[in-house]
Amino acid sequence: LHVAEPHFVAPSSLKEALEANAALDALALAGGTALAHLVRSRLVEPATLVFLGRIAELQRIERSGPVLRLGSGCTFRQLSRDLAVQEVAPCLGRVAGQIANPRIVSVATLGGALVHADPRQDLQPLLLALGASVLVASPSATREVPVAGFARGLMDVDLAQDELVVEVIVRQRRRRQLAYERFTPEASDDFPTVAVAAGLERSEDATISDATLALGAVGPTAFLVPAVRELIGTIAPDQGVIEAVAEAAAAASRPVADRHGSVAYKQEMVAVHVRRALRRVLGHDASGAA
Amino acid sequence: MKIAFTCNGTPIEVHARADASLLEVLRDLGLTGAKVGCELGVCGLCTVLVNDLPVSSCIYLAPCAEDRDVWTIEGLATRVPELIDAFVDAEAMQCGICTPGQVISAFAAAAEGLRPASDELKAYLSGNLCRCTGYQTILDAIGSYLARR
Repeated sequence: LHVAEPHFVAPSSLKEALEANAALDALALAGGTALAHLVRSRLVEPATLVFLGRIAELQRIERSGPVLRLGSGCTFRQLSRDLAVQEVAPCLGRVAGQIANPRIVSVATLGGALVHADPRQDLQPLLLALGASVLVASPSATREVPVAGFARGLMDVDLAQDELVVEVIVRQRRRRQLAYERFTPEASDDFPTVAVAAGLERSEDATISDATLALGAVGPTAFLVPAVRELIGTIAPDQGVIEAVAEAAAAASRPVADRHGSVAYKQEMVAVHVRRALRRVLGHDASGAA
Repeated sequence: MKIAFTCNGTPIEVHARADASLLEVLRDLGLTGAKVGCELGVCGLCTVLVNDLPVSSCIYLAPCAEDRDVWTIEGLATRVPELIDAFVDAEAMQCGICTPGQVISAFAAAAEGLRPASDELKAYLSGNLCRCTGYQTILDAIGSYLARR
């Protein structure tokens, strides 16, 4: 069986990459940790692979006041070691450095993860809890869209054929805490069976002024759980409120039964890990949040 | 297509399909130390260094290595024989199929400044699977190498 060999182009500027990527059947390749396997097993058959790994402008991390702009070509390793990331969203950097194994961390990129959109990936719940947005460019225009709503399912995102993810934008909040819980019943290197990111902001007098909660791995995409907004306006929410949020999260989850557990088991694990994440972000747990 | 990169310190040029893996290209060069395992980036058998970082060469497309600095176990064995000696001294292998990947990850762990017997070291190496030794001799070997550096 002869399979057509894709063309391979490796532009050195975003402008060239956008032009090459606009061609019919072109596919952008970043780290390739997901795509290389799909191409090699012929599950996707692009006419052209547009390699983004030579574009310095996509690998930059820039901070301007409270706005952190993460180039889509940044590797998980870069995110895990960057001082600006540590200041604005330390949890994001810490989690990025612990995904899968060091060989993936070396190579996999932020933009690749967002576009691959596997609902089990670790960064999406965190980016949702951070209220991050995505800067998307085509040869003729750019647009900024929230991470919430960007993914519709595995390899199905709000991106036209001629568009590329250029940046992820995270805005710093002074009194924001974030906690991330990932449940992996087998090896710690696995994709999570349940992932929970909780974010909390407090005003000067310690009243909770904003609260976010995002789940990963328990639906077609990572998603936000609005019920957590019940915490807003309180200083130390009582156990009943936390329990109601945990139950709402479990009810909103749509896990798939597999060897890691049944639907009912995974929903129970959602409740367990939401409680843990909230306790940590509220400071009820010595292991803390960041 | 033509792909030029540095392999174990020597600039080379190969012809390969655009969808060839770096692992295939290396093994076709006779560098068979990197093994074919899961082909998903999970097991660590095919670990090589690209620009000093460990990668799974099974899911690293060969053209992405253009102009980059690739090291396999064959080159690393010459560059850091004391690391190989540490594995031999600790008898840190049985069937040996994971050993090249373990050695390369150990070298990368040393470059990251990880300390012997630390949780960080264990976490770093947990992505290289061994199905014979139970890992302790591997950790012993790497620990003694790190302690002597």
